[in-house]
Amino acid sequence: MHASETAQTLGELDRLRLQTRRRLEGLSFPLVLFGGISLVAAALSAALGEEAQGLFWTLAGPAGGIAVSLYYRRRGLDLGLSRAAWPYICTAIALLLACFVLGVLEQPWSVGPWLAVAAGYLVFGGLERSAAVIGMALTLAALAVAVGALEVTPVAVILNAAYGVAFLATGLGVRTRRDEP
Amino acid sequence: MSHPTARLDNTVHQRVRLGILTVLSEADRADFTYLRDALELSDGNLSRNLQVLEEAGYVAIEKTFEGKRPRTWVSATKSGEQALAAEVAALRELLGGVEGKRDAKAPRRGGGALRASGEAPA
Repeated sequence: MHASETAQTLGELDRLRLQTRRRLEGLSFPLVLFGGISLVAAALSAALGEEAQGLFWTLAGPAGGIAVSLYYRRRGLDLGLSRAAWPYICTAIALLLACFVLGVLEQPWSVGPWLAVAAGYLVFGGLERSAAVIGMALTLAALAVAVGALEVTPVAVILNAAYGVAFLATGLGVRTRRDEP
Repeated sequence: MSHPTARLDNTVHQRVRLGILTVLSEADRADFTYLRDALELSDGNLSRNLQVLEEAGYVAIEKTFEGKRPRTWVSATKSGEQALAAEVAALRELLGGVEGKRDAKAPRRGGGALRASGEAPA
């Protein structure tokens, strides 16, 4: 095999690898879904008080997780291409458990659930090799730490709204990039 | 250390098979139609190459039914992933050797080795 042929083959393999990776990108749906849920939680917290969001998330979190797993399953069948599901499922379960445990703790851990969510999305971003999602997760973690440290209130309204907007913007951004030719 | 050409695997050292294993190294599994379209192959060509890879133990093939529609799913085995990694490493080493010789012969100017394909993304 000549050097030019070898270079061409390696170039084709890189292109194929990136194309497959791009087709597999699937964080847009969960980000948009949980962005919407976070904004509803922010509205509920503002209208009914911070306690209302606890019950809301207890129901909406697992329901959203089930919707996302059904979406991935359907998408894999439609596309004819799928990733191993277990790293995502394990991360989602760990995230839900961490949110529940940290959610029942009081100060100074009032931002604990949000830090857990940011950590979860950091893992999801790593699994998808998505710089946009990793950047979003780190920004949200920094915001949660700042809100906790500065004791800005109402925590639930501010962070639910910020997370909701960030999820929606990143989810739509990731989708636009994926749809590019 | 052996010359990189000695490490090339005849089963994998073929564009279509390299392509199949590359797709499967990124995904957990891919179906026959996806592979055929992504690699722009005919059904027969893909089938023959899959058969070679399956006989070598580099891919696993699972036939399922979706309703009444048959579906063929393909996934890379551990040895398939290792064979692909070894092959790509050998090819890069070969290319690096050729480029190194070219650089040594060429007059020094801004010092840049040719990188036709670039580094593979992790």
